[in-house]
Amino acid sequence: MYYVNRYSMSTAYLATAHFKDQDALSARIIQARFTGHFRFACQAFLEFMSDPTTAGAGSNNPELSAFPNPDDFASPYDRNWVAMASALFSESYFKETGHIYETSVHMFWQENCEEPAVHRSAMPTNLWQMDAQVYGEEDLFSHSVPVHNFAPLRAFGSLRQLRNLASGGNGNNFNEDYTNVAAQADFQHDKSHRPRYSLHSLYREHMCNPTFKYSINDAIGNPPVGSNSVYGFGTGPNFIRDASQAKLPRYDMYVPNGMLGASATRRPHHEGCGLGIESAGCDTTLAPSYYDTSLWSWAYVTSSQ
Amino acid sequence: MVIGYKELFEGPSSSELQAQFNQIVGDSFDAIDPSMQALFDGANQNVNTAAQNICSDLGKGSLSLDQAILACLFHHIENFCPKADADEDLPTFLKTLRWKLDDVVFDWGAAPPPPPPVIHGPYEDLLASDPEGMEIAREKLMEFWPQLSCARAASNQHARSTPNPHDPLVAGTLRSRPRAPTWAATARPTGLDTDPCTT
Repeated sequence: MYYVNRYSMSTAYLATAHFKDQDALSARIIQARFTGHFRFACQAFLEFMSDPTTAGAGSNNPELSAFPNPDDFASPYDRNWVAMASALFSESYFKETGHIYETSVHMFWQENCEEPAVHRSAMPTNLWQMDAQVYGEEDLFSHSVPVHNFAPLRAFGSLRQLRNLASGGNGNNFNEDYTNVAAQADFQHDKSHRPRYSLHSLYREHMCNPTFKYSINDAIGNPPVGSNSVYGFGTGPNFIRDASQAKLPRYDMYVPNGMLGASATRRPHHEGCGLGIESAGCDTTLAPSYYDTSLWSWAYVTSSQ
Repeated sequence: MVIGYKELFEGPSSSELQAQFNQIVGDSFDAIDPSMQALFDGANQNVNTAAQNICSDLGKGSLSLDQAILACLFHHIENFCPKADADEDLPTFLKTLRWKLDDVVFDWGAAPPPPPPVIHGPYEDLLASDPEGMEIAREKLMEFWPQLSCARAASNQHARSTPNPHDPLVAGTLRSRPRAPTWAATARPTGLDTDPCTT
C-alpha cells in the first residue's frame, strides 16, 4: 500500500462520517475514492472478474456456453460481478444513510474506479513539489496502476449481446442479462447507455465517421493527461482547490493538473477534422473523448455465447 | 351603506301597512276592523336593535359592506379574548414559559410496530437467483476495499520505512508528542484474535 497523507485521509473520513458504520461495505468503497486505494481495489476486482472458472452463463440464454458453469450455479442470469457489486453497494448505502443509491453497472465502475483518478485532495504546494508521489499511481512495490489499466468500462453483457448491431443487447431478447430484466427504475442508466456505447457504435460513430479525424492516438493512445475539465487550468467548476486552515480567507492549495496522470478519459480532445473536411469545418466542441474512441476501453463479457 | 344595513331590521310602520291595506281593498271597508288594527300596530315591534346597531360606527369609513361586516365581526369577537395588557407581556411570557410533555404510557408488553414494507429490488433478485455468487461478490468487495483504519495503518507502516519529510504526522516533527489513538482505533472492538485488515 502506498502512502496516504492526512489531507486525503481527512477527505475520506469526512465523506462517510455520517454513515452508521464507518466500516460498512459502501463506506469502504467511498473512502477508497479519496484515499487513492480505489485503483488497487479496482485492479484487483477486474482480475478477479477475469477468472473464467467463476463465471456463470445464465439459463435464459438460448445458446449454450462454451465453458461449464460452476457446480453451485443455477441462475437464469449471467453472473455479472459488477451488477452484484452495484446491488450490494446500493443496499449497504441505503442501510447506512437511508438514501437510495441508483443501481447501475456503468455508474458503479465510473464513480468508483474512473472518476476518483481526477478528484484528488488538494495539498500544500511544497508537499507535492518535493514529493510528486503524493499524487502518484504506484503501490508500495512501485507498481504503477494507471486508471486506463481497468477503466473505463464501455460495454458489458453476453457475447451475443456485445455482437448485436442494433442495440448492443438491449431488450427482452437478451434476458440472460439481469439488467434487462430488472424493474424500470433499476439499472436504468445501463439500458439507455447500451445502444449508444455498444461496440458497434465505436465503428459507426468514430472509426467510420468522416467528421472527425480518427488518429492512432485516438485508437490506442493513453488518455489525455489531467482532469476531465474542458476549461483552462485554474478555472472552471472542476478545478480542485482548498484552504489549508479553516479560517484562512483564501485558497492556498490546489491540485496541479499535470500530476493527475493520464486520467482524462472523459475530456473531449480534438485531433482534427476528417477526410475531405476543412480544418475549421468540424465543430471542435463536439470532439470525441478517450471514452468514445479508444480501443483500450474495457468490455466485460459475462458469458461466451 | 349603514342605513341600508339598519333598514334590514325595520319593517313598514303601522300607518304604512294601513295605507297598503287600503290600496288593496279600496274603500270597501269604512272602518278598519279592530283586530286588524291591533295587528297593524303590533307588527315589526320586536326589532333586534342589538343586531341593528352592532355596526353603528362603521359608516364613517370607506369600507365595502363585506369589509365592514368582517371588521365588525372581529371587533366583537375580540370581546371574547382574555384581557391582557398588550404585547409587553410577550417577552415575559416566553421567558417564563414551561413546556410540558404529554404523559406517555409505556406498555412494555405491547407488540412491536410492524416491520417496514419489503422493497423488492435487484439485491433480492440477485440474491435469490445466485446466492453463492452474491456471497463471493460481497467477500471480494470487503477484501479489496479495506477499512479506512487499515489503509491508514498500512500507510503509516510504509511511512515509517520511507518517511515523508514534509508531513508532520509521519515525518517526526510531531514524534515527541504522544499520539492519541485514532478514531478507528478507539472504535475497533477489543479482543479480536485476528487482524481485521488481513481478513
